Amino acid sequence: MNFFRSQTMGYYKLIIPRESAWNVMNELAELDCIHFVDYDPTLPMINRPFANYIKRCDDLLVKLSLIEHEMKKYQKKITYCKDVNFLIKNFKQLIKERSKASHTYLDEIENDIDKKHQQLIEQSTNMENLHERRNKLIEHKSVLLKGEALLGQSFFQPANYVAEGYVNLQGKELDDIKILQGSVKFNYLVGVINKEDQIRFKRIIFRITKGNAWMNTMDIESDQIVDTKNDDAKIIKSVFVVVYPGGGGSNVITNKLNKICESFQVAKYTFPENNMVFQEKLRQIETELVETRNLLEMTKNQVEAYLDDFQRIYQNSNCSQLEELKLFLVKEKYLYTQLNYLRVQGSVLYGSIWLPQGADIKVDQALREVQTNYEGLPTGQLQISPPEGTRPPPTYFETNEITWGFQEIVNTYGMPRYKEINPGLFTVMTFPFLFGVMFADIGHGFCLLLLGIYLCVYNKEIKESDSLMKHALIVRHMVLMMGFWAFYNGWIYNDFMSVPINLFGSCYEPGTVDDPIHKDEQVWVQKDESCVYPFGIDPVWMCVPNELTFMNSYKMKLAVIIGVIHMTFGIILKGINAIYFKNWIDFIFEFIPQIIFFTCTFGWMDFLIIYKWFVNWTGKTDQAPSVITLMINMILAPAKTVDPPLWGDGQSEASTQTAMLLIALFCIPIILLPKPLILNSQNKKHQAQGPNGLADEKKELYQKINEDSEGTQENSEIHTEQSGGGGHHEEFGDIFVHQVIETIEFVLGSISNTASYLRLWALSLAHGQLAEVFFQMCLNGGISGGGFVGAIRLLIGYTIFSMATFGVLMMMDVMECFLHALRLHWVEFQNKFFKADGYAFEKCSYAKVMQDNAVPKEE
Amino acid sequence: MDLCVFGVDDGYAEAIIRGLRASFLTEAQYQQMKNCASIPELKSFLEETDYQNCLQADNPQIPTSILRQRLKKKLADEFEYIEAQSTGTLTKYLFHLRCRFMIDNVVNMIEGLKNKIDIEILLSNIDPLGWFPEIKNIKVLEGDDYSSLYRDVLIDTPIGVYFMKFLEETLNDIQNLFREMKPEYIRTSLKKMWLEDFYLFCEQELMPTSQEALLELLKFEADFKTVQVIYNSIGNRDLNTAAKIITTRKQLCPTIGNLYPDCEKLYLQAMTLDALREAVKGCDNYRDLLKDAPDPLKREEFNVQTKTLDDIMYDDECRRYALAFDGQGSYGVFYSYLKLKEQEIRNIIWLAEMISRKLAKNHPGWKKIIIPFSHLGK
Repeated sequence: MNFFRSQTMGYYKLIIPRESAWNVMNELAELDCIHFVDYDPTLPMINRPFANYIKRCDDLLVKLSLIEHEMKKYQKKITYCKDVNFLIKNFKQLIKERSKASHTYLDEIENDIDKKHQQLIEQSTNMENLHERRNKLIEHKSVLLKGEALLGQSFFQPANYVAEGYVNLQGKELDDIKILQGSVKFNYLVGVINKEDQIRFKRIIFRITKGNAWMNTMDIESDQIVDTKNDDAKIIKSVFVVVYPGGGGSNVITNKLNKICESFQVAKYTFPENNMVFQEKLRQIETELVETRNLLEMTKNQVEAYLDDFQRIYQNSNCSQLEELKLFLVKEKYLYTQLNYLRVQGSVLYGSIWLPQGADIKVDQALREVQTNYEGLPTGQLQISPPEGTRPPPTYFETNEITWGFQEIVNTYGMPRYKEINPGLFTVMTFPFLFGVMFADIGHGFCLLLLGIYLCVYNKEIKESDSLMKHALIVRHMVLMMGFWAFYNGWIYNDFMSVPINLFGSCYEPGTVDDPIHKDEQVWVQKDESCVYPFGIDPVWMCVPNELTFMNSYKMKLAVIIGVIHMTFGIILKGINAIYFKNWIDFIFEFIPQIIFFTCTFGWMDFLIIYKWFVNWTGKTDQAPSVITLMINMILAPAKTVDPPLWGDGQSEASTQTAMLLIALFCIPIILLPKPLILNSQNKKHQAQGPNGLADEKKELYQKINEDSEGTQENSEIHTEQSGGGGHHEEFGDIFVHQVIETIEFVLGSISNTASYLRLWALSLAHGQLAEVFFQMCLNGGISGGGFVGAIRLLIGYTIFSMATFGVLMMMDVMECFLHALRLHWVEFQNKFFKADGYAFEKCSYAKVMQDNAVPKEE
Repeated sequence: MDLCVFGVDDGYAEAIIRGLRASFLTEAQYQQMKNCASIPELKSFLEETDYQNCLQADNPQIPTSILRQRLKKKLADEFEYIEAQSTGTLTKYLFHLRCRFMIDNVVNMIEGLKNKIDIEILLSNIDPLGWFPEIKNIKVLEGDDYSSLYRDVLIDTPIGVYFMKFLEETLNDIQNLFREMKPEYIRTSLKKMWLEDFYLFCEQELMPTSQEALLELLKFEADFKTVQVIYNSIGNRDLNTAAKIITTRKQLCPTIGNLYPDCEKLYLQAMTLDALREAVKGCDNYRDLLKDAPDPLKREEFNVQTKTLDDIMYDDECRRYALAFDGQGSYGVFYSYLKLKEQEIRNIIWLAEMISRKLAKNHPGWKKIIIPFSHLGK
């Protein structure tokens, strides 16, 4: 029954000698069954005893992630770990082999990683330098080539200038300058600049030379220069040439330009003076370029060799070395984090833990094992202890692959209180069912069912593949069940993508009536008085004009019946909870009046609906009463004779419903008044008794714990002091207001919640109508048209139909129905009994934390 | 109406800012910080907070100046991100915000160059919030040639326009200006112009909700500046004649705010603290603020413990910004965020100083931090 109510927890004290803390903790963490209680949650992690170990692990993890980054850069494929349990065993083996000094393995790894990281960094800087050099060479080469292209060879050849004089270059073209070159000396500036700085550079040059300069730029081919500092991103640089008049006063300008170049981090180059030098230079650069390229290749190979080391899958391992190291560090870090929850006193660590029932034997055994495995090391001790503090035990359910998803649905709303009935158990069944009621369609349901079957059957294959379906595996049972119920309910509603299926043969056939007025109308005549369509709705309803009216009324009634049953069940669970916690006040003054109230109002309505179904109204349809009117009159005109009556002459019906109404009304004050009054008097009694009194709930809870955990009877003294006396007792006003709210919520809620279950009908209607629209618009024309044109129309129509069916019905509508089923559970069902104020049992588990880290991060 | 359409353009940027609200240190965290015994401890504490990533690569014994630089870098990065996400008016607005830091940077640079400090050091010390590409070009400065610095570089910077106005106003030769004027004076004047310009921008281009929030804040800031100027000029030795004091004050006091122009005459002539108190009494809670301010005439007696006028003003400022941060649908939130984060960085640096000096825990200096948002709870 561990899924119906959460597992029984025991509170224990754990005492571990500091020298064997690592070994003991390592052994315990492998058990996957301990919840460590943080002794002081307000204490920051850095002030805890093992903080420096965590820091070390963190540092190493950072280094590893840097290495991983490098590996990605070099496109090394990392094999990720699929089975962490294998790895845990592997680590254990590894540490055993090294015997003793086990946690020094961390030191070993630390050294190793540090060394390799250092080497890698060295090589990387090497590489960066080489790249830099290569960039420089390429730049120089570009300067030569582009410079020539920009200015032409002749420009730099020494000219026999005649005079130094002022010349205005503003607005002049290169050709003009060339002409002037004979007479005036020009200075030039050639270099390479980042393209993004280009405009600013131009502007500042303009200002400094007062516009008296000629400047031109040309981009270097973008893929040549690599920015190593920025993940090898490509940067665009361009060659620029500035020509300004030399001579008198140009020194100041030259000086300034040099400074500007410096501040722009511009690389300046000198341009060779004649063609021979030019060619010589070019050749020289080419050879150097080849050299650098070779060096780069070599360094790259070296780096790759280092990285290969991390990529390799070693013996006895199932993933890359990098992953293995990473997971080991994650595990180690986790271990120290858990150790940090313990209090250190002298050379001993004291910890408080919660254990599920029966786990104490396992822990004891594990502790003994430490002694046998590591001789000479003192082992820890486990002691039963009364719970400290006011926090109730954590809630723990053991889930399997089927129940996990449904439990998650419940947990998302709120963790069940310790030992409270777990709504997850019922959700397993009711959730897919309610979904099925809304998604009811033979065809669509079958598709979903097929998907579920596929996921379940090919579970293993999909898990190992890279298929996108992998992510859906975790909910495969849910999909299967949802598909099944949608399929089943589709049969009930007899709806196959808006077309009913005539499987058993309809009970009606076309015929005529004698009535002269309706003579020409087609009517459907029952074949046989006793003929009943065996399962679901008779397909003949598809052909009659009042189909929608009939289906709506039918589905609406079904929805309300299902809703009332679901909610009544919820109220009953409340009663069972009250009995379990021995909370008699809740049982007598809340549960009993509530269930009576609910049965007398909506239970009565259900009864009316079902009764009406059992009566044969053939031939007297005008005498059939409307259930809605009946319900309205029950409240507005209680004592009046019912007309038309559902049974008899309406007298007995009237008196029954009056009685029902009175009982229901009588229940309201019972829910409202006694509980706060009793609680108040109890509080007063407690106060008179002094601070030893404790709120009932907690007391009972602790009693419960102590009763359940065997062997703790000796310690069953209830620790009440901690919660403290005063302050805990609420004022009567508060209690009363609280109860008023509860009452109003229940009474009004029962009406609105019942109405809320109508969504079962509304969504099914929406689904049906959408399916019909798609069918009519896309397929019907083609089918009824026939012939070649019909075939073409069908071809096009089918494409649209299938896409719309997939997109709208199979995707969006599934989502919608899912959400509404979710809501019905969270709000309408769970508010009847579910307290949801527990907290989860977090077992200390390597497997979990490693699994979380074993998945590659998606970028 | 503007509330309806605020989210169209600026919703995302605002959402980011609101998300960053969670990064502010809480009072409990300040308490823990005060308990740190050494700088490495403080650093490892900060690594548990939102500042984690910006400090990780550093040596545990981090000098305060580097610490400040890192913290500011983080703020600047966040701000840059938001700026990149913004469009239209918001981009302009955010740029205006940054101008204040640019002014600081440029003045610091010039001041540093004047004192022959190496340009690389100066560049590494600039506030990343006020970084702009042209700042590197200040390097061009040669000897005392400020006029060409202004002509070649400063004029093209985003804040060149303030320099231009400044020169027009002082009608001074740029050369003498930089050589002789105190950098504080330049800074205050430039900031005054920036403030007025920013005020004008807010008034003309922003939507009413933003205006309402921002103009209020800016008015206060202007008043703050005015009071500061008057306060600091009381008993200042450099300004010996009354006429000189008044002209200087007139130049430095912003021409916006609650005090201007109604109280202008009074505060320009206030020569004692009491007179200043009298001058501003008509406005808001300024009188209360000034009540506790120490007398500037006894400036020499001030020490770490003194709660200076700045401290008092910052405290009040912080309250206003925290309130403005919670305002909806206005650009005030960006301004407040910047100001409050600056305050937080000031706090951390202050605490770091206190820690590195190993002052006793009962030293009154420990209390001298202003915790953003702490005013709201009360």
